[in-house]
Amino acid sequence: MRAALSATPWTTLVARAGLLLAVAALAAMPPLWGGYTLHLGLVTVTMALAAMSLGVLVGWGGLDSLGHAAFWGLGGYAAALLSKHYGPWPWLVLPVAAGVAAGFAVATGIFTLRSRGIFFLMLTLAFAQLGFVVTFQWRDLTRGDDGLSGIPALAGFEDHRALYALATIFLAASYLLFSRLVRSPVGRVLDAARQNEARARALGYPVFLYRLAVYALTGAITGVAGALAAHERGFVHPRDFSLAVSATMLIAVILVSQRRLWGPVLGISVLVAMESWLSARTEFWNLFLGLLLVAIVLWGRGGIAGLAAQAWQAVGRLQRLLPRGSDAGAARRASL
Amino acid sequence: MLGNRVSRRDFLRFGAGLAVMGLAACQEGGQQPAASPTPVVTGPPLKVGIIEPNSGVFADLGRDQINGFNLYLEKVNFVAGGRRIQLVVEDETADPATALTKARKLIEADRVDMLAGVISSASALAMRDLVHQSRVFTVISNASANDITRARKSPYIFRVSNTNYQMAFPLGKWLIDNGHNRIVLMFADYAAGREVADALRQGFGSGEIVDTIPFPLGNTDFSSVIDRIRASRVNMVAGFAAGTDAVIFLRQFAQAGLAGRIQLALHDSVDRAELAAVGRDALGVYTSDFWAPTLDNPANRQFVDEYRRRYNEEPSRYAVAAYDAARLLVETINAVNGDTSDPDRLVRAAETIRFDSPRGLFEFDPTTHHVVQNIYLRQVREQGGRVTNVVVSDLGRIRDPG
Amino acid sequence: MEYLSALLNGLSYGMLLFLLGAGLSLVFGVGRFVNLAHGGLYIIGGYVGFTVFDRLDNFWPGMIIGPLVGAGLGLAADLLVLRRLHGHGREPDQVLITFGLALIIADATRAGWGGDIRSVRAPAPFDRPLEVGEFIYPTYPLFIIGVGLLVLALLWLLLQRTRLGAMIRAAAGDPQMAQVLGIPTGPVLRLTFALGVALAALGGVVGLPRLALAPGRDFEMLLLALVVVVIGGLGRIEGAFWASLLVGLTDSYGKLFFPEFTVAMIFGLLALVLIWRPEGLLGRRAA
Repeated sequence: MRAALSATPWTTLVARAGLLLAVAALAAMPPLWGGYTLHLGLVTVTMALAAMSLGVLVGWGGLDSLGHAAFWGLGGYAAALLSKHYGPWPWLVLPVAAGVAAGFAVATGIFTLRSRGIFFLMLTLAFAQLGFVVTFQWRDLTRGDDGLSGIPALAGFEDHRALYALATIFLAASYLLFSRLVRSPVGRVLDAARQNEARARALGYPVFLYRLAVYALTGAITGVAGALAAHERGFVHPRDFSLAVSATMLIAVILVSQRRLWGPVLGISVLVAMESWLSARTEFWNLFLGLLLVAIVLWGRGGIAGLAAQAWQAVGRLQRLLPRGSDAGAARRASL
Repeated sequence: MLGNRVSRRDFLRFGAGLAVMGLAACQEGGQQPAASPTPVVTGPPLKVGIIEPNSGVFADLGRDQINGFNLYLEKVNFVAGGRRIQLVVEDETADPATALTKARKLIEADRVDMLAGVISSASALAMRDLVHQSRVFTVISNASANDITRARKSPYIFRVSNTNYQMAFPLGKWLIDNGHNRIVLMFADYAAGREVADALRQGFGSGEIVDTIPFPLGNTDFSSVIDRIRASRVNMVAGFAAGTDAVIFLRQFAQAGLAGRIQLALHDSVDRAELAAVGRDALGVYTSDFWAPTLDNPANRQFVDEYRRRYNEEPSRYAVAAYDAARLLVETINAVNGDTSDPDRLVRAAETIRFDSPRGLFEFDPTTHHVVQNIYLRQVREQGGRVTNVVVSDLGRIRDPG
Repeated sequence: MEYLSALLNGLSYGMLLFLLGAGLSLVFGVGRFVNLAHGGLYIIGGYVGFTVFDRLDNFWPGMIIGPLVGAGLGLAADLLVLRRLHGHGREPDQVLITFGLALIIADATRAGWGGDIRSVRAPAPFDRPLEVGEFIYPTYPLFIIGVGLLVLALLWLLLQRTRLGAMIRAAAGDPQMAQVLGIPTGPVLRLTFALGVALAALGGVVGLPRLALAPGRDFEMLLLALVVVVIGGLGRIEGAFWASLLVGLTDSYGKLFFPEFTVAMIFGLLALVLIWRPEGLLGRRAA
């Protein structure tokens, strides 16, 4: 891939610092502005946590799941029920949410992880739908499709700015954790098995066990995300298990880049921003979102990351249209 | 064969939809009313947040409600208490999380002075804490879960539509009082359906329910339901089916040859949309509701007439509820002379509002802030060349127990 | 009596699902193309059928016009946007783009026909119930069974007894080899795609007197089609057939015994089948 600007160590450092600064600024906006922006920020961060976990499953495990919302919903309902009956203690709610989600992952993974491709996709969807039906029907416990509202705020994090900080810390910590994971032996085996399962198994690696472990880990983290979201919104609903939520997470992963951990984070940000912006302006926002997706696939090779790369290249091509300038920089650019 | 020919309307709608898309893409989502003779405006504009589904399964209900709001507000030139009313409309979709997000946007970003709308009960319940803590005067114009004005009530939340209990209990009572003491109970198995079924049972009292048939929400095949109805050998089926469920049920009921042979009493399941979809297959069906287009009082005659002329279609119960909601907002704002700074003052003013609505006398129960109203028994009949709901009996002035 | 009814209900619903599932099976299993807009094509067929019935006061032309419109749209979509995305490894792109198309179809149909519920009466001669002694049963579902069986037979004939069918099977089994042998895989797969979505549209038309159209119906049907295709194993029309029967019967008998859990039963069935046979009932180990 040819860069439009020549990459010296100096420009790389500046670019990287600038990028980090921009991200930090964006992340700091919600708590500074408060109110609605903070709410959107919390929605984005919690969903991003879930989508990033899914991203690991998809990008490194090769396990496309349409049932990831199950962990999100389980975490949320665990948080809701515990908070209402015992109290909204973070040291109780968050580990239990993670545990319940991980337990579900292990219990279902034993069955689902024997399938691949579209079969895995549909099986995960099936189990998530079962979760939906249980929360819908078990009205005595969950109040069915009225949802469980009036969930008390997480103790110590009643101020949503603090909750946002907590969620962001979780997101950053998970990012670091997953970075380590994909570079670790377990991660490499997972990746190898994604590319050629037979060979990985033949080499003696316990592929199934590793997959189950990663499935449980990503499930647990998604459960925590769901719990945080439940406390932010103050309610949970069977719709938290729905195909719509799972699909949003999967789309966020595919949209930007499957092989970058930050891809789903950007994807969620884009989707949340677009839906919020579009639906305030037109009742046909689905149509515009659909057009965007089509455009990205047709012209943004490699998702939004690819789109950005192409824009970068386009800038380079435009530069070449300018008359050759006197400075060395322009000459260097023009010669690419 | 079909009843209403809607093809030209479809084209108009398509064109209008494209036009709206184009226009709306340039606007903020707030609606500017058409030019009108200058009303007396002395204060700053008053923002009313409207939460209605513009997309998704409930889109047509949302559209009806927005029509109803606009119809009343146009009558007062969008002015109340010396201030110009500016509507800020947000899409509820069919997702309570989205509804809550939009409510936050309206309250915290758009800084609306009051809220109105909300079709879905789950959305209303999800918003309840936000609205209560923010002390925003909110008028619910549809969501019917009992708890919204019972266990989860808030002084700032007023409801102008109905509770599931309020329209189902009197229907059950009517059944037993009119000799239908052996029935089958059939309902969509979700929160609202269950609340309706429970209230029907209560009203039905000591009558005999030969069979209870819940069916999944979104059911597409009622054959087994219809078989059980037939097997029970009753003359009357009471119950509830929402939207598409009602349409599919009525079609399949007719295809099974039972239309007219077994009577149906289906809560509020058959209104304008369902009649437009099934036409004559709904003839004879009883429903209980707070209004009917054929209700004979001056306010209703005027409302139906104006609605027809303005929107070129029949009004629905959703439009009426929104129409009354708009009137409530306007009269409350008038009562405080446009000073919306104190939510508690708004609440006290709203509590005492009474007026002659198209449905009859409209007033609130001060303890629940839920409307006290007459419930009517209607039957689908052919009148004036169209298939419509005709008022058969007045079931009385019903107050939700709270 | 109820059991006989439930049997017929299950068969009829199953045959409707077969139209959907066979189409998706062709597109996905044979064409190797993930089509998340399949439900959208169903409702397009349904809305077209509705409009035809509305204007011409005759239901039957819709059964031709609906699938034709579906096929036309499918061909247009393939030529304009989907062409480059066929093949292994492009699944994420296929998922995204067809999901985008599904969203566009959802809003476009709502713009064109409104969000109101659309329903039609069963067309004569199927608007009267069948009465055999004590047993009364609506006749339209029987018509659906007939249509399903006819489509099954025609598909079988096409795939097993015609040259085009052989080309489709070759292109499906091994596209590169087929190309080497001189089979125009591009056009063949395009035709398969068009045929698959035409079947979905036919399902929409045929289903209209029994089901109603409203926003959201498209994604419901997509889900069911995916369930059927996956249970049956990919690419095998017979697989889609048995799977749709299984799902239809599970649905109808489920409603008889456990009406609250019917939705769960369908997915429970899916889970059970895939746990027992991870590649679907008639699936083979795909490359």
